[in-house]
Amino acid sequence: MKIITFVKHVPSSGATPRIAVTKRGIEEEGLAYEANETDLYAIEEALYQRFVHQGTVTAVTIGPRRAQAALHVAYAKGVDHGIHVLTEGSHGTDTALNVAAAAEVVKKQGFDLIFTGIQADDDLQGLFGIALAEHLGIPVISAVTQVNVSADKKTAVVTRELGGGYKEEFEVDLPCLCTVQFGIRPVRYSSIMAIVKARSRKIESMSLEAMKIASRQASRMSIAELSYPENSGQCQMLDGAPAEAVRTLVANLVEKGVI
Amino acid sequence: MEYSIVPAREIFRHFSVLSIGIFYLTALISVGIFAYGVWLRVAKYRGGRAVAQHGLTWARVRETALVVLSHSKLRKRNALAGWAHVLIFFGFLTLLAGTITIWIDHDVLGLFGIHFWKGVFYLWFSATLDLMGLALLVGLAIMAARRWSTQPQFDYSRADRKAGTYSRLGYVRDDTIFLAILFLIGATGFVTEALRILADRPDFEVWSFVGWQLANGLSAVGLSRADANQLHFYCWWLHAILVFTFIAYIPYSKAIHILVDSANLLVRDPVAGKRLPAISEDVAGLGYQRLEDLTWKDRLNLDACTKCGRCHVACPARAGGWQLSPRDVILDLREQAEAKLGGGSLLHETSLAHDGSAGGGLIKPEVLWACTTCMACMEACPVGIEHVPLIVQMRRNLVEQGVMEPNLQKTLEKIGSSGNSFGEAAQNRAKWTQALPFRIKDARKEPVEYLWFVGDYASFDPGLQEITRSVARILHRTGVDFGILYEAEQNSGNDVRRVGEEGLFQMLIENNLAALGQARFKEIITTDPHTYNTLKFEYPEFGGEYRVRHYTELLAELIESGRIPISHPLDAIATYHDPCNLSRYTEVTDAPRAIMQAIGIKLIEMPRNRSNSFCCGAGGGRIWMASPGSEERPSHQRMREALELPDVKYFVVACPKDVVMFREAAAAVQGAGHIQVKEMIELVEMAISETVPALS
Repeated sequence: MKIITFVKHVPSSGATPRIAVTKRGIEEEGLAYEANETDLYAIEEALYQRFVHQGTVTAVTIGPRRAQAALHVAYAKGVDHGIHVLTEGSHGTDTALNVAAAAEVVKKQGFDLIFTGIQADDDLQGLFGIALAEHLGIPVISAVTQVNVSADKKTAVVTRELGGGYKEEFEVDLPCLCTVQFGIRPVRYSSIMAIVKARSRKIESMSLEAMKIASRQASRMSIAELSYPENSGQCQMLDGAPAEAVRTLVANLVEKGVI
Repeated sequence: MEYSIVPAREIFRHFSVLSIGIFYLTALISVGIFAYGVWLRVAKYRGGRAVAQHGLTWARVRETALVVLSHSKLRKRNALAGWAHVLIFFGFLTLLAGTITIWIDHDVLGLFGIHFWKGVFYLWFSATLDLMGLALLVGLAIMAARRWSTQPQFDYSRADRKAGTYSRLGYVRDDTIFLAILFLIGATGFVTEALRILADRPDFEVWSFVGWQLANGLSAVGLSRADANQLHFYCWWLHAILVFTFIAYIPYSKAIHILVDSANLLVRDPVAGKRLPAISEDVAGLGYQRLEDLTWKDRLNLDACTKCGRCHVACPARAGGWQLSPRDVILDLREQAEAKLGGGSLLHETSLAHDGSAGGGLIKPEVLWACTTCMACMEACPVGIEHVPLIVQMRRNLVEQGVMEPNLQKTLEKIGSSGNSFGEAAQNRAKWTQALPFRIKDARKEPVEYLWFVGDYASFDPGLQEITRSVARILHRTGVDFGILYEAEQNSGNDVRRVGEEGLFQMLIENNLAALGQARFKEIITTDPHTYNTLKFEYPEFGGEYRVRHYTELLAELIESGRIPISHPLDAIATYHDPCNLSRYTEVTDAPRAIMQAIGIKLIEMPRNRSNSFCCGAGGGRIWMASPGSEERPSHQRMREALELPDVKYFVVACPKDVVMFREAAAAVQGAGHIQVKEMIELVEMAISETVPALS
């Protein structure tokens, strides 16, 4: 079975990003990056399917040079191949461009299953997987929590999450695409040694030019302004002995009209 | 008769040539079985991986001889058992030397007609051997009484399995046989001697005072000289057969510790645990996954265990009801090694039911993750077994497989991405300094005398930042020239390494060394004893050789020299908890006590103090794990230990993690409400308040 997964290299949430002067993007300087969390769940699921059905898992990242680090993580987890589509200009948020590039890659590779994370931690668009399936003309199931592939029948029984804790089960023809929900199975720890070793693994590089994709397709949307979240609440630490602290707490709550 | 003039005795008294022949044949067989057993063991050790360095020097030989002869390690934790072992050890050694002396006289020099075992030498020899034989018996009797009569009974139970799923009857038998056979050898020796004396009554044998008195006793109960003469032959043989059985039995039982433990002490690593082993090139994975990964020294370590249980008793994880017992880790590995590689005991532990959770590695993950790397086990071990490095080697394998609890995984990922265990941005690291009325120097930008390595907890934990500022205030007021690394400092990696995440540790070292390389300073001081250990013992291997001290050492010096005048002595009673990393690891126990004395604290020691301190439970990455034990937490147990002391107002610590652990304990433990957990620096600040004029 040929499985392809997509992994995005996103700023880690540890540091608060600074908004650029233009207010239409964030400052790259001082940011730390990591592999997108749900994409790691997608990789874990892909590796599990490979464990059950044999085959290969290819991880693809689309982004600037630094995005190769996401593939090192993928290699450390155990994927067989890593492909990097270099897009120096975009910051990975141009879904149309990503989909066009991804479609070229998967058509060239051939596949039975595509796994992507349900969304990227930075822009939270949740578009990529769905748009790619649409572009390829294959079925797509989103928010997937379980996958049972029947290799003989070329189908899969896929469970997805609904609101209110309900679940929905589909039978779907392969090839298909699943956008994987958080927690489909535990993401194992990747040791730094494993990641360091993975740095010497070969990454296949593809350029947009070679794929004949215009680097910036016309978009009918543009960012007007980014702004920082406003403080909506406040927190106060009450010091002192427990009895005294409780008295202060009650006094404060009464003052604010809560009780 | 001649022998009544020149004191001596016949070796083979009234023996036929056939009897003598059988004796030598039996001796030969016995020594052969012994040699084969030893060879099996040596083969097992030789099959182990090579050790980069084992530190065997003349100084080590001297030091080991001193440890063995003085029994300092054996007497340390249990004086009674230690002294009993002194009696057994020297008793056994003297009897062995006596036997060898007779053999040389009879079978070596005797061949040339030379005999020295007679006359005055014989008399002193007889008296000495009787005295030491008695010592042996007394020692063995004490040990037997300890093991089988005192309460609580010696704890053979495993910490990681339910009773009934295994049987350690083999261990009980091994221990019993060892004790019993030695006792019987001693006892039959004396009876044989007494029977001979009773039969022959040479006057000079009064020098064999035990045998002489025993002969008197036997005579008093009516044993005739003729009967004694008869019985002597049988008793002699019984004694001989016991001795030969024992010799043959040595390499197949716990008796082998006589040889293995001396060797083990000789090759022990003086900084074991303090400086963990580097990743070995010749191991398939990053740590120990299979028996083949163990070095010859590790294998020797396993065989050195006598099941004395001191580590089992000292271990905070075991006391807290986790599945770890350092003793059981060693015994478990030994059982596996003996089953697979041979060269071991006749008597084993038997598993009555399959342990389903064992998994693929050598030791269950739950057992390995319970370790706080507090080193209490290694400190308590009288024979130099190095539990902690072994456990970390096996943890390295777990880390590589990704087998760990989610909390720990999250923390390691945070450290990996942000350089600190709080997952905070580097820019926030020195935020605690903003509430200070002065600016701390940036050691990367201007030279300082002391570079202060602050550490994660002291930097980021909101409950600790005021304490951290206390340190800064006092150093500043005293006019100490110091600085910090600001956002360039990262987690020092001490506990990351002890978790077994060697790659992350090396990454942290690399980053910290780069930051330290930018700074100009004479000496590093740390607030965190964990940081202190790795900077002192582990950074040098990666090229970071610095003079490092804990802040209490500097403070003690400043107080001693009068640079920090104490004008408001506290006049309070306190107890002090020695942090594992400050007491067992870096061996700083005097400085904190000197400070307390100087600031007017009356120190009452807890029963477990200094290098015998009891871990708070947070070390070795445990502070990042949530899995609970089945008993009361170690920190709570420790708080109860302090509660036993009269009138203690302050529970003093000198480690940021201890503040976190023990403030929780003081709040949770019933009856600890009156005890205030104080970081040393808080008390110092109280004792100098209003006296030292602020410099700016």
